[in-house]
Amino acid sequence: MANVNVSLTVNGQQQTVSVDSSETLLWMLRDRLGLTGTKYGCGIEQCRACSVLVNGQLEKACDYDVTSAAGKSVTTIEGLSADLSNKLQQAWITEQVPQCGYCQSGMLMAATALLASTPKPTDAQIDSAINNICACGTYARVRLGIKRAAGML
Amino acid sequence: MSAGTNKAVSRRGFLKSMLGAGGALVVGVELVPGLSWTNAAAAVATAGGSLGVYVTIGADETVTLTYPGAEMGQGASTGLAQILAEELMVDWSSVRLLLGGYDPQLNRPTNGTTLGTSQSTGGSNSVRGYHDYLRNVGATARQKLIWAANSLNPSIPVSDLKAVNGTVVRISDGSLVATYGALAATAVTMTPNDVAWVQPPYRIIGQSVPRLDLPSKVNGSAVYGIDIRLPGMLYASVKQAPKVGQTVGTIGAAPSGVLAVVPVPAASRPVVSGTLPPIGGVGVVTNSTTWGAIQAARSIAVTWVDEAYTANLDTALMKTRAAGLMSSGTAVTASPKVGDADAALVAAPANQRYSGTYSVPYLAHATMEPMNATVLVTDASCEIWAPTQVQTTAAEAAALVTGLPLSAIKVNTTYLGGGNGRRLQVDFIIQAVTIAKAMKGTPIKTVWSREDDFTHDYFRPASLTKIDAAVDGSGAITAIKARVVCPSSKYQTGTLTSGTVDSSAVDGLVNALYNFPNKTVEWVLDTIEVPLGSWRSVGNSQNCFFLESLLDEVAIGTNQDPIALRRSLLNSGTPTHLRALAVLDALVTASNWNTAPVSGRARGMAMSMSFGDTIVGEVAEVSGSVASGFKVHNVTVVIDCGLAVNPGMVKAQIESAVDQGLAAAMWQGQTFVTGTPQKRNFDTYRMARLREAPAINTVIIDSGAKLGGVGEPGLPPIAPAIANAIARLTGIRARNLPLSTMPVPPVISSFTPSSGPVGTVVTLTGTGFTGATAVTFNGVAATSFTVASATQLVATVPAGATTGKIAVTTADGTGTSANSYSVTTGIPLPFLASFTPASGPAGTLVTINGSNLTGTTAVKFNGATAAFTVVSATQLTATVPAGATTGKISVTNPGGTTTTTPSYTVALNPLAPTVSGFSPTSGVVGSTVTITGSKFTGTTAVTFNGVAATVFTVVSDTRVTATVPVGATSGKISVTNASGTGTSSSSYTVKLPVPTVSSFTPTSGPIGTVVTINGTNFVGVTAVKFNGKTATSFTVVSATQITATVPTATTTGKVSVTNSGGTGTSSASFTVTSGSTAGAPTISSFTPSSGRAGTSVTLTGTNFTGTTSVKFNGTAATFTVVSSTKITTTVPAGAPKGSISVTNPYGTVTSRDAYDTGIG
Repeated sequence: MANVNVSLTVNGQQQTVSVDSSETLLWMLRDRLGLTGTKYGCGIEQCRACSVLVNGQLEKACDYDVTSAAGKSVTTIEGLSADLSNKLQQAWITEQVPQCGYCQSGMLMAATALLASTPKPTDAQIDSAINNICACGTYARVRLGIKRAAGML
Repeated sequence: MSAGTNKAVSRRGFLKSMLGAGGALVVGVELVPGLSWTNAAAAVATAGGSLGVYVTIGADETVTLTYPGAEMGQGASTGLAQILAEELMVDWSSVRLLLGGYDPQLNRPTNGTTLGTSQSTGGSNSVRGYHDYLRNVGATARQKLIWAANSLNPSIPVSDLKAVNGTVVRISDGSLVATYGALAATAVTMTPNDVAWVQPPYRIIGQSVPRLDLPSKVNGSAVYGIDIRLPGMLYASVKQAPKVGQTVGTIGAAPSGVLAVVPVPAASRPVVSGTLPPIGGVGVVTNSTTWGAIQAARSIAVTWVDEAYTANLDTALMKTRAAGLMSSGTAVTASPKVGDADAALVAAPANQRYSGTYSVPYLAHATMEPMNATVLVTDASCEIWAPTQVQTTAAEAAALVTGLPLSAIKVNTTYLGGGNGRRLQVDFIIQAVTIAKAMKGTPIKTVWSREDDFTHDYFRPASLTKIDAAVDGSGAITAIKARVVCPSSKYQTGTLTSGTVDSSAVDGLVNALYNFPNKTVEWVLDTIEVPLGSWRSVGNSQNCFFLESLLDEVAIGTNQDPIALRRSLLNSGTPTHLRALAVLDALVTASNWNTAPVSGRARGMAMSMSFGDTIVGEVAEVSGSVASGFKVHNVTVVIDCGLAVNPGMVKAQIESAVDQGLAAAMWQGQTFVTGTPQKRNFDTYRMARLREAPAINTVIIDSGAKLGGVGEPGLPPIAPAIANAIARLTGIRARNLPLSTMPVPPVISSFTPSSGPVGTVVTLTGTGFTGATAVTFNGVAATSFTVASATQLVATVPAGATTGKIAVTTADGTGTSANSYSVTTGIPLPFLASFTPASGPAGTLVTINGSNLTGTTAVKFNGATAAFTVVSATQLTATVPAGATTGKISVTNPGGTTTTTPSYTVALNPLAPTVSGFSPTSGVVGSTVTITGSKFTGTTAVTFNGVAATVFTVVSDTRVTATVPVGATSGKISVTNASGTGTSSSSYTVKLPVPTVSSFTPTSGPIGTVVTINGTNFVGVTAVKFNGKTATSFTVVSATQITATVPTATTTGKVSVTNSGGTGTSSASFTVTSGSTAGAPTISSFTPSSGRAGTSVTLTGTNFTGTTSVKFNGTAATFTVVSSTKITTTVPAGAPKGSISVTNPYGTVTSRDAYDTGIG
């Protein structure tokens, strides 16, 4: 039962949401706020389809207590741009990265976090930073998308 | 905030009904590429007209094309739209995508004009299956628009009209007649009789146009089944059976917050048409969140009833069962059989026969979006929103569950987060409809957890396959026979005619593209009840691995290049074989096949033909080892699919198939323990990650052959390509997938000692030593070795060995040490394997086992020498010596000393005393100490820091009193009886008695006098002082007498003697007399010799330092000691003429001469 109010910023908007005290950020975003871009893939922090930014840090929403998110600033895939002007989103379209696309929200958030800290990543840095599972096997194009967005192609 | 509507559904698109030609209902979720959701709404709102179920032209010229299937990432929604757009003569940028729902008008066609009976997506059959039909649909729509232009402009004949870029123009002068938007309403009524396909060159077909669905997949707006949100929607999940085949027994109380508990048909049961599975799950409905529903389902208590077969679903049992079927199961021969492979195999000599038994495991689909469906059931209708590959089957299942007619069933197709064949099944839809039926009027979204998804799959079957081949004298294959043992979903669903073959068991073998002179493929049905379904590339996924591995074994065995071997089997000159040869040519070039790879890497190749004669060849380049793991660096793929409708999408499908097939080959397999599937999430079912994905080079051959499938053909060759590369890299043939189960050869991580002569026993540490068959020292076999455990092995350096690496061989291979063992000359050190007992008191006889013990010269227990006896080269005995303490045992021979790793514990005799404490903790000699402990009865001695007390009393077994003996110093107290000695842990502090000084002689004297001092307790004397000044020296003659020398700096006072107990002082004083020249002043002269009071006089002499007074004939004067030889003084008033005297502590001196003061 929803028994706790949590206030936080989501994609730049202040939100106060009524949640279960044991709820995780993933389900608050998807089911309470209707932001279904962030996905459920495993629930145990393995696949990273649930990746979001919390105060700029890449986090796995499936295991992030919603009460810990109080007062923080969350960015989801819907917050990257209002009009696909985000460089990574443009690169993803240029390189035709997604197959089924289900993992790509998390993939783009991980790429966002990578480029924020490492604007021109090497292959080794991409290998180490991108741990999202893509069952469809888009990895070669994810790498190209990151490099294109970084201005390296 | 309750479950609201999707942003997508409410703002951008919404359920939209559109009337197609003939009044058929077309429903779907409106989607728009890119960001302009408002455009989509506007386009639909201003739609000019629908030219059939596939095509709607908007008044704003947007062209909405309906996709009839499941968009699960393969891009078929774009591919089919390309075909329509090509024929329609519209620009790609004007195209919008509509995901079609259940509609028989969208059924899979059987040819260019006739629809089949079902709407489904699979078999790599969307683009090639719909191609002709949609060419006709598009061409027909285009012609309708042209006829409409003529109808509205009768003066312009149809022959002068053409369609270009969404408009109809006059051929004669190119002038615009009308746009499609303006014509659409009229076009609907046209019935053209001159429909023809557009001719190449194509504008859109064959181009890598961007996919229509990708923009929504990069901004989070794409709506998958799991994302559906409807007003008033509630969340549900299902408690699924923990074991395969179980049905529900009893259902416990609902947890709080649960709105409904609904028994549902079992998941992952074989589908028997027209029936529902037995109740095998419990649906739970909540109003919180999806996760709240999943948690509630987990927490509800349910008892389960096994099927008779449940316990048989056990990986170990199933392996044994399959092996039994391989040796003696009844087989059915698949058709076509070529020649007589059995006879050819029997006739071939042994060295011309090849045989391999291969196996692959059950595979899960592992789509990233778990199973789910959203359903709204009312009394009159059932509407479903689901990620489904089978709209018709889903509708029929819903009709079965609800009892409603098909006409009352709506299925809306969402995007699919992966399909791979899992969503060909409708078990999750049946469960969702059943739950919604119990909550009529309320939309219910039922979502499975990832764990449910992994454990309730329809798995790709495991298969055990033996392939035998015969070659002729030149290495050409003359016969091949495959015997396949695997289960069958056809059998499980009751649709397998007895005596026939389930084609998915032998697909890729019986129809392999090679020309074998004699070929038999036979299948033994395994009736095991593991739930089965189609996994990407179906039977090809296992059979290509089997065949391409065996061909590679033949290539290696006959010393042929594997590509040359394939060529020799593609020699019939048929168009298919010519295409296959062209694929091999391109593969050789693109993979640099004829140039060796960099050191440490090897390449393997494989090829296959599947899904409508698409031919794929692959080369994988691999490095690594079994122990450390393998890395696939790059893969080259050549594909001939006849025509690539969208080359970019073909390339993406190849990359997808390679990554997916690689992960399956290297790591994946579902296992079972008495009915329970073991791998439940991605932590145990390993998927490829980005760092493991190889670089992939895809070459598309445009052969102009018939359009072939693209979704699946790229997958079968990757597993054998990798296994074949590994065979060349390591010499090891992997016949069983996944490759992570390849047996690991031993690894030697260290050994000790690192050098020694022949006969030295060396201990190896590492892994995989169990079952070792050989140990070599620089290639020379050790004649004696013992495997202590998987991680430790002991071997003796053999005669003839020289310095070099050590190697251990087991059935799984050979491991070699990184470092060399140095073989020296001399006598090998003793080797100590073990000793027993591990503890005991002095006197215990210890047996030491090892090697090289003959010739032992010494045995020590923590450094204490022990008596020993050499029993044999491998055993000696030694006696724990008295006084030994806990520590390692060492054994010495002329070669050196070896020390044990564990310590020998010298344990006290249990009858020996123990000292637990004593009181007081300090005292003087002669004082009494009470000692507590145990076993004091029969005490024979008490010692204070080794000095025996002469007086002690055993008060009880736990208490002894003792007098501190003379000579005792601070230290531990010990108590000894006949069985041994116990010692205190802390020390007793022996306080010395304070000295007393009773007399001394002489009683006076000058500095330097030697004084004899009498008294008592002159022990441990640290100081003797005269009036506080330390004696120049002293000698302790006895405890009652000291001689000491009076020091220079002292004066009359008492004599004291000090030790650690304190200081004793005399009552009388020693008088320090003058008379000793030592220290008293002398005056040698003074000047002037006369002068009145106030005159400054300088005295010259010695020992002036410390002068205390200067007098002129008894009258004190002021003075200054300038140095030890000079004083200045002032003549005082009133001093009579006379001598000058100088006094210091040692005496007074008077001058010989007089000073004339002028007075007297």
